[in-house]
This record gives sequence, structure tokens and C-alpha cells, in this order.
Amino acid sequence: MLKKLTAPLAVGALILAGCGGPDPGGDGPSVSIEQPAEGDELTAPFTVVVESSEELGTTESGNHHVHLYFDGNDGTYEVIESGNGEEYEVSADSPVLEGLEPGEHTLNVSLRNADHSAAGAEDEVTVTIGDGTGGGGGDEDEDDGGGYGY
Amino acid sequence: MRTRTTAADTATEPVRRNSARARWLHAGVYATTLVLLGTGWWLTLGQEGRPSLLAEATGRSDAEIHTGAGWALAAVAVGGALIGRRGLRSLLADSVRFAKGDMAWLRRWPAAAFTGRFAPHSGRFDPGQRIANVAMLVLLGLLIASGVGLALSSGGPVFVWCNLIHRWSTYLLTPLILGHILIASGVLPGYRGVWRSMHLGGRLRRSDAERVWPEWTRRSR
Repeated sequence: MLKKLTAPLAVGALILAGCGGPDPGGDGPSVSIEQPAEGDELTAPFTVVVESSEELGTTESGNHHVHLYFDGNDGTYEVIESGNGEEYEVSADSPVLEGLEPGEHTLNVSLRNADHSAAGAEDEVTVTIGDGTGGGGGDEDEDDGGGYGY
Repeated sequence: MRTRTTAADTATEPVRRNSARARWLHAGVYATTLVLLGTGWWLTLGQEGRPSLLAEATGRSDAEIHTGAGWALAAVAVGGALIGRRGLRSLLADSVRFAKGDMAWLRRWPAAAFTGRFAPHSGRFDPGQRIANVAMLVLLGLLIASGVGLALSSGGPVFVWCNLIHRWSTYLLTPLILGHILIASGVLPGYRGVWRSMHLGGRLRRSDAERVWPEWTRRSR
């Protein structure tokens, strides 16, 4: 019985070993917040730009993606799954802004594998969440009224 | 002292359909599967990052709960298959069989679900149940295998294939499970009382058992 299972298990292990996980030859994956900058004041909607060593994409693509959240609360997050260095807009009804009081907060990003497990790269900046309307963090779009979704 | 048994007494006399081990395995599978369906559909319907009630109650993200429940289902399935080898063999043997009258039973089934007048069959499971058993076992097997593949690969080409299999197995399994719950709940008059076969001692009224599994009930006297 065990002999019969050995070959398929070995093939399966080889296939699984050949995919996923950080590149063993490199320094490991990385992610950084390019925008907003440390100390920026943000009002929703605001723009976030992240840079990663990994190609980002949807779960279906099997690529990495980024979880964005505030104050270390990684249970409530935005998913950034398109384009390194491209602008990503966090809208006023984003779950990460629900219940978030105006004031100083830590904006966290965490690089994730396609299955949402942590890929081992994180970054954070301290920002001030404002009480007003319009764009922030370099976002020039000021005609979108409304506060946060709380 | 002699006691007389009337037809009414016989009808309400309980008949045991499932062992305690089978009922516990069934409970383990459905408890984990319901969590998986709930969190899986929550994520699929674009709610990722917005905690569900379950995520709020547990303080874990829906993706984490889904992965944890998936491992739990895999453990229940492997443990159940090892501990209940004989039961699994008989479940398979009683499910993968076809009889001459199956088509007639299936033709009468939609109306019989409401009237209770099912066509006769001789199996431990009725023909509809046999099809559902095989489909659910195959789809649950695919879901568990692809789920393990997703968790172990984390990303890349194997992940993409496992994700495809996982999604399509879910799309096919969800209506089957909803139908199973509808039938097992006894809401349909033809299936009234059958829920007891998997709960509270696994005993149901003989009249209910005879309506759905006539030959099996006679054999189990």
C-alpha cells in the first residue's frame, strides 16, 4: 500500500516544491509605501502607491498582492492587486476607514501570497486622518464629497 | 403477560438508521463545510477585507478562518476514512449501484417529494440519494485536495490550477448541499421526519423510514 502511494506523493511534492514562496536565490520579497509619505494628512478618498519586488495580481493569477490596513488591524483590509508603482484609490466607503477616528494612525501594508498568507514583507507610515472631504496624500480630486463610511 | 402491538405502535416504533460514529463524522463534515461555504462565498462575492460576523466574533480574517476550517475538514475526512473504513466501504458500495427501477423512481421523484408516494426501490439509499452521495463525495474530495494544494503552494501555476478546481467544485457543490439541507430538513412532506436519522440518536419513525427506504426498513426489522 505504502509503495503504491510513494510515487504519486513524490511527484506531488516535486510539483508543489516548484512553485510559490520567496525566491531562494534573492534577498526575499519586499514591499514599501511610496505614497503617502510619513506625516501626510489624508482625507478620503486618498491615493496609495506601493512598490514591491514581486509581480502583483489577482488570486486567480497566482501572483502576490498587498493587504493595506490601519494600526496593525490586519483583519480589516483593502486588497491591492494591480500594478507596482501604480496609484490605488482608497474610497470613503473602504472597510479600513470604518470606525477610524480622525487623528494620527499607522498605515500598514503587508505583501501576501496568492493564498493570503504573509509573504514576509511589510512597511508602515504614520499619517493623520483628517475630518474633511476631498483628496489627500497627493490626490488632486477634491470634488468627491462625503466623509468616511462610519 | 402478553402485550398486543397495533399497527399504530409499529408505525411510530423507532428504527435506527445511522451509528453514533457515522453521525459524528457527518456532524464534523457539515460543521466545517458550512463555515467553509460561508467564508468562501463571502470572499468570492467581493467582501474580502470586510470582516463577516464570524470574523468579527473570532477576531480572525475570513481568509484565515477559511484556511483553518479547510484543514479541519481535511483532518475530519482523513480521520473518518481511517477510523470508519468499513462504513466508508459500505457507503460507497451502497451508493455506486444501479437498479432497473431507478429511472422510474427518478421520474416520480419531483411529485413524490411533495406527496410522499415514492416509487419502490430496494437500496439502503434511494436512487436520488445515491447520485447525490457520489457527487458530494467526488466534489468534497476535489475541494479538499485542491484546498490543500492552494495552502501548500501559496501561489504560482499549481495554485492557479488548484484555484480553478476549487472554485468550480464550489459552484457545483453549493446547490447540491442546499438541496441536501432542504430534503434533510423535512420541509418537503415526502421527507418529513428523516432528519432524525442523522441526529439525536439516529432513530426515526418506522413509518417515515418505510416511506423513503421501504426495503431497507423491512430488512432492518
